[in-house]
Amino acid sequence: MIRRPARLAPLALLLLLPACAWSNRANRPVWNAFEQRLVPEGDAAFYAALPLTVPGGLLAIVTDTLVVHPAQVADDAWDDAADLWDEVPWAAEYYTQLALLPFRAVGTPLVFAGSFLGRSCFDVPSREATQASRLEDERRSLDESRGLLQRVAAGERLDAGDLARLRSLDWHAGLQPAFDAALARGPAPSRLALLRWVHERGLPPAAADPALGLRDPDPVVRHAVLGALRRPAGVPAELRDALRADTSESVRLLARELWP
Amino acid sequence: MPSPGAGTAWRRRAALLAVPLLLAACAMSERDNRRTLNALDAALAPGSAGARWALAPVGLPAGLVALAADAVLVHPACVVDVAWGDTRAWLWTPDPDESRFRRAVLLPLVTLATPPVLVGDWLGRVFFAVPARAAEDGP
Repeated sequence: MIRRPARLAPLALLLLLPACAWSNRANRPVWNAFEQRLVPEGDAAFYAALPLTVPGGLLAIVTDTLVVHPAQVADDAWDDAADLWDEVPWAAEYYTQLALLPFRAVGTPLVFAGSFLGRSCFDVPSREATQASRLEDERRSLDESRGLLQRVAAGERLDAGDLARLRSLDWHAGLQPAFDAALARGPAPSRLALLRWVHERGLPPAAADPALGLRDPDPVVRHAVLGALRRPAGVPAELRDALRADTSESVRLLARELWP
Repeated sequence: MPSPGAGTAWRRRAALLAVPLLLAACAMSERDNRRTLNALDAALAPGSAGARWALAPVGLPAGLVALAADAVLVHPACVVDVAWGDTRAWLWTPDPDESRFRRAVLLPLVTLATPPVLVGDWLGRVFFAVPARAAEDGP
């Protein structure tokens, strides 16, 4: 026979685990409504109503914990499980995806249950909030990168702080016009920093044009880009010949080392 | 009627088989380690959606057998030489600054360490998606 404390332990655990989720105001709608509408504000009424409001508040907590918040997160848990079935490349990996099918089928309820329990018990941001946060980060990063490129296009020379920030910036497709303008009108040291950024990290402008920067009017820039090239084989033959006969001796020598 | 002991033994054997297969799932999550499945995908994948549906009753067991073959046979066989390369690099490639005397003193220890290092590295590569040495070292 199970003793009463042992029987109560699972119930206590069930109520205590979601305390983390309950700590976020957005996860306790019943409590919020109860507190706003049914708890009197005046001192006398507040204390007089306590024998009724305290049990009501406890009931609100239990309702939030066991019914309302789990219902709120069920759709996100379902979307987490549905992620397993997103973009299955049947045409490209037919047998691989067929072999993974039973594992996906078994994994779907497990992911749903794990996500549902995790989201019910802990204060996990909703998928919508996560997506909004990611979009905001991307927008901020894009604005920062575009601002830096526009300053270069306006003739500004990047300082040490800009150079350090540049190394951590990510590429966005929307940056191409500002990048082209910066390369066309920026001062040589800033052009060099931008070219190093795209070549050393293999970013799309360098991937699309392995010779990017090798036609720069400044020999120092041409020399540095030569040194940072990731795919020397991708440089067209006529440009290789031009660099091997460059007016700058440093460029000539480095080009002849790369393409003997 | 089977004895209760037979059921327990069967469950134990199934668990013993399931543990390495589950561990190998990590290695199989890396596309490059699924050589048989990749070959099947490249050579025998049907072109149209209708053919894919029609072939599914055969393709599903074929895919599962290929996955099991990759996990149990092909990938373990393919990483033997990689594990040997690791062992040679770690134990049998002397530092240029190392003296001949130091190498002589360490020779018995290195010899003793070779089997466990080789087997440990091989098991690690069989079960987990460990990058090849060239990829670890970078270009």
